[in-house]
Amino acid sequence: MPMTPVTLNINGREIRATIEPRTLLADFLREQALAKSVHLGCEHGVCGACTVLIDGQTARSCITLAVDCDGAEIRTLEGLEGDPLTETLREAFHTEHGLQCGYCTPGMLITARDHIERGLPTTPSDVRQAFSANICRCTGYAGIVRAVIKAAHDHVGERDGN
Amino acid sequence: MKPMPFQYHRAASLDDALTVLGQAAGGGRLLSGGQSLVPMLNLRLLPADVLIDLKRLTALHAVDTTGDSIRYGACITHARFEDGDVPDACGGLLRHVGGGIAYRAVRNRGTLGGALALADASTDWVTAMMTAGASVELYGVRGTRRMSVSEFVQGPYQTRIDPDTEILVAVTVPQVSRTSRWGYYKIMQKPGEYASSLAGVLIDREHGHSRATLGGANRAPLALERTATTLATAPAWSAALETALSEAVRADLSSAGRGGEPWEQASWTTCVLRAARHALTSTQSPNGHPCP
Repeated sequence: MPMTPVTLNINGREIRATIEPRTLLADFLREQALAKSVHLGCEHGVCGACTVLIDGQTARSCITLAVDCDGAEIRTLEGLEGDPLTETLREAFHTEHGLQCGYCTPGMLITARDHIERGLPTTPSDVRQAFSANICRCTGYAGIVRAVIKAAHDHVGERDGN
Repeated sequence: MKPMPFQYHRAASLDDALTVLGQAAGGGRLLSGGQSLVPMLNLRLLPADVLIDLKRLTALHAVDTTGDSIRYGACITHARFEDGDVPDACGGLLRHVGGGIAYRAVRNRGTLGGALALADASTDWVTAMMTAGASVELYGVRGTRRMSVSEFVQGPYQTRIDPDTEILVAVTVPQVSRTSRWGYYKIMQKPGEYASSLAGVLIDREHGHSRATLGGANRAPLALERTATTLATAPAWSAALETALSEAVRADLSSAGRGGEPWEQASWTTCVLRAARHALTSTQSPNGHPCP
């Protein structure tokens, strides 16, 4: 089976590899870029644990082919160190107990960051609806919802210099 | 699971895609957003020798507005409809539908053409585009064919496309009048899941159309003629209208030979009624979301 050369920009670093076309982006990220924050929960696009940013937009890396991302910019949590909104979210997930085992958490953080950045409503109902995209089996979502609302509130405060 | 080995070909043109598709002799799969195809490959639900990626063909992302219709390229993502990045031929229906498909991460990559070509029974675009009176454009080795979505979709995963010689390249949607009203409702256990029932309603008196469509239920989509006729002249939502519509939906289901348990019949009827109520009671502007 012919191998395909690809070049992906992952967390600001250009990574070249020659891979089987069937290589999932999630596996490429974990193995070639050592982005272990990318978690595989279902491998068919329903659990959200594998959520990453492709060219700034959220995507499920388990149902994306790495060859399909040739030339794209990928961001995982590793590449969001120092990003103010991500730091605010991490703090909020910590104080509001938004995680237990932590398996869904990377996907939650990526989804949350996108939600807040796009200025979407953050009533509890709106957050619950949006986070149907990410399955959590531990927390019952209560802490996650509080964390997202808190982070959204704190982020506006930071942005406005409060 | 991981997929079986396959080759990946990035199409340089539609004709190039058709050439590779033909050479693959049944083993070729067209790749658009991949939000249905790649899960199926991961679960090894279907074989694939070669994936033919259409996404780099700019023509498939184009939007062409003529006087009375809008032609949407097949690779336009659900998110572009959701964000109002493309014009809405149906006064807000398409934007509403696009924003309700699965989850944002899926909407960022999943496409209109991919969804219609697969034609899962619960595909939003099947129900919505039938309600809109849209037609598909199939580009093939023997030329281009056009047909209505209701003609194109014969049943779950059954369309009139010839999978080895044709590509769905565009969907053309008639523009609605400014006084038209639309409604849409889905029944599912949680947001983002495949809906067990979907219903779309479009009442455009100025243009002389009224349509009601029932989707889901692992069946072919159903055009509800009597329901549409009842809605065409309904002045406003009322208890009497609700009763009349219930009768009309039951009659439509019956004349279509649509059997089902009593709870299923109730579910389908309720879904259509809520879509109809949405059409007649929500605040609708020609440009955007209604306020239910």
